[in-house]
Amino acid sequence: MQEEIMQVAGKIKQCEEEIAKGIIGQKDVIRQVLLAVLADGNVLLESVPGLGKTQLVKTLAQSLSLQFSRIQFTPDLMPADVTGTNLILKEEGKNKFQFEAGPVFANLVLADEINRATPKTQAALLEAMQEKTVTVGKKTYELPKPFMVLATQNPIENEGTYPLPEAQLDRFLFKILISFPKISELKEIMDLTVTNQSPVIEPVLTGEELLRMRRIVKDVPIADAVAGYALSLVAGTHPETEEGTETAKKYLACGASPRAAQAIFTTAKARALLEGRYNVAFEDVDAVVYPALRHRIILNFDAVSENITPDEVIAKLVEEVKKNGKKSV
Amino acid sequence: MRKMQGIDQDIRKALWKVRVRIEQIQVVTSLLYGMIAGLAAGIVVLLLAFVIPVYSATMIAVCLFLGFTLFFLVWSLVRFPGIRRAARTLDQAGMKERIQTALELTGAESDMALLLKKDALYHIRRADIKQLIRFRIPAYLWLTILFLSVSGISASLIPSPVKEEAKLLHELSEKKEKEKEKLEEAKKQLEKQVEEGTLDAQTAKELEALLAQAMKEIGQAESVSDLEKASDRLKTKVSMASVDAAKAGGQEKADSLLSAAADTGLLSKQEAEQIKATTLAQNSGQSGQPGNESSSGTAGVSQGGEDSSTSGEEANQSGENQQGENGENQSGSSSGENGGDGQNGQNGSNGSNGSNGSNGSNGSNGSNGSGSGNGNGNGSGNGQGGSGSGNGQGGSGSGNGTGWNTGSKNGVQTNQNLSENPEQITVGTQGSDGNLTGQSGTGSSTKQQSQNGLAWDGKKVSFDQVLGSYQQKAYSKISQNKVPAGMKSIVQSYFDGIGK
Repeated sequence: MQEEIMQVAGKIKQCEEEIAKGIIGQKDVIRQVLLAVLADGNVLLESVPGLGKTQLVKTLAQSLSLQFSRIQFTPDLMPADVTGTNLILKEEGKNKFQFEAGPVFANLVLADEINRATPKTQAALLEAMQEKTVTVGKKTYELPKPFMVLATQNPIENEGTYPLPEAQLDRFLFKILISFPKISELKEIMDLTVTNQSPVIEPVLTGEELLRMRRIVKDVPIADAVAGYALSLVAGTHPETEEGTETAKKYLACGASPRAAQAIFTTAKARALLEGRYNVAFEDVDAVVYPALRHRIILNFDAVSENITPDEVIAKLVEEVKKNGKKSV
Repeated sequence: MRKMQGIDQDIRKALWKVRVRIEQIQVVTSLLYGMIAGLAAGIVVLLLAFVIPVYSATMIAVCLFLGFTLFFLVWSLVRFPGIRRAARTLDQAGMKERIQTALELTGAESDMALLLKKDALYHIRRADIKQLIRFRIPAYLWLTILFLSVSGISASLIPSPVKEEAKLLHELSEKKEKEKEKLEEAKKQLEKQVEEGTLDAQTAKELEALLAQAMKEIGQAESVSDLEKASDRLKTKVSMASVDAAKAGGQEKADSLLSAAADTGLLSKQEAEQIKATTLAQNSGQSGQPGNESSSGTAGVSQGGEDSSTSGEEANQSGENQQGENGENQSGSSSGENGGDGQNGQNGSNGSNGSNGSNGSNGSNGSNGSGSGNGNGNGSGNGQGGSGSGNGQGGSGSGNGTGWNTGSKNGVQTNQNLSENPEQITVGTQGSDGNLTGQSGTGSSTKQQSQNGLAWDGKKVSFDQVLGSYQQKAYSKISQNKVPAGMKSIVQSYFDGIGK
């Protein structure tokens, strides 16, 4: 068991390096995606077009030896296009229905531009994300394990889009922002993509190993002080409660749900293992709080009018909680 | 299970050196903060000393400084850090919550728990604790201590009137205590003497009453001079008591009282002897002073040193202001015999008003009383040449009756008729010698010229008009040691009493 644990940590690092072969720069993004993978969560990737979102997911699928499928969301996409549908087939002179699985039946699903599909179609995918099952007609079909959805959305095109409601955003473990690469990284990207060089991504993990890793991650202990700190952060986002911080009262209309605390705990544990530790530290919580909270807090008019971003609010929140003292559970 | 317990124990043991390190830092830090607190408290006291008279403010400040420092030191020693604090400190120094998590998993048996504890133990043993938990004294602490030290030293060295006042108050307090102890001791001595039978109860009671009064005055004294006055008053009262005792019970009683006073330290032996001599002289009417021919200013000369009385009052009464009446000497008829009829100058009567003190000044003329006002009236009654200056010292005005008539009785007192044409003694001129005519007697004569003679023209004036100048002159003479030592306090208290 000990050896297995130590092996897991090594393999995850190796996986990171393999993905970095295909995705130049974006080390934080890769790390966060891996953490979400280990935490058995879904990820919402947000960036302008052309920053390698699809490439990232493909590379991830290759390194993890997982089945990959891509769904391009458009306004005319139907739920059946996502989940699959029953088709009428003639067999031995008789007509019968046969379920044809949709693209959602994969280990890694890339839902490209999810905000372009109608709410009905979005709901179909989100049900799959949450329940890990698909119901067509009267029958429920299990999705393969491990199953993970990486959805993307474009922050600049709002014409003809259907923004995901907060209740559905809450189902994503992380919301990861991909920023424009630096010049040095751009050059590397050019060297990689406009030449005959093509990186070879070696599979590092299998699906079974990934499932085992997820169980190990859940065993990583967390000290009371660290747990208290994480919970203070989540509770601090609620302006209407006693634990609500001044920042929340000033800038937030609504705080994060308990799913945020679950996200922080599991991803912090995963990060601790990746760092070669067998316990969660404060720095692990600090590293995962941004992707875990930014899509779960709702800014009020004051924050919007002052052009304050969710990340800025989270930064103030963290500072305030640290100043008040990390509470022990 | 055993393995798990063993690791848990190992972790706790490994944390011991961390606890010691934390304690070392804590002690030094507490010491520094204690010094700062002590210095601050000391400076407050030193600054207060500029406003409120506090004796030994510096000592108090030093004690506060040491007290605070010691308190903080002991407090830090008592608060030896626990294991959890050590774990927290180590984690903050770079262990990333390994140790705290390992301690929380004490007794846990999972594989992950074991891995974690081993990892934690490995890191603790490997760590250089002194490097990891560094201690640097912040510069602001040193600067604060330096600043406060300099401030404190400056505050203690800067003089101020309030500090002087505090010093004086302290001296006064010490002297008061000493005096009180002395009086208490005297009281005990008195009681002992009564028990031993060497002193009669009544005398003891009188002395004890004086002691009690003196104790009260000492308690009420507000300055060193008040203390000295109280002490002098006590001596004066003892002296007066001895005089009263002599009158009431004879010289033996007075001697007994004076001895008791000397034995108990109320008076020095010398003072007691002087008072004794004075009392004796007063009783015997013997003046130890040669008859001096007084010149001006000796109004109311009494002739022949008639022993009018020992009490000044009586002398006052008997004294007639006979200006120019020199008795037989003047008349010359007595041929040198001291006019037994020498009458005390009526100045004596003035003396009751105290204005006889002026006689004292007159005395200065002829240094008869050397300004004592007691009208020692030296020697006028010698009759030796009929100087007859015998000041009517009854007019010493002390009212104490101490104006003894020192008019000597040398010579024979005879009843002689006064000359019909008494010699007028012109007074009022400074320095002029008022020579008395008359035949010189058989006795020797002395002549003394007065100096600074202030004329007394015999007119009566309110004593308020003259008190100030007379008082000043009296004190002047006291300071010039022209008053007998035993009389100084009496004279002083006399004038003080008038002033009140």
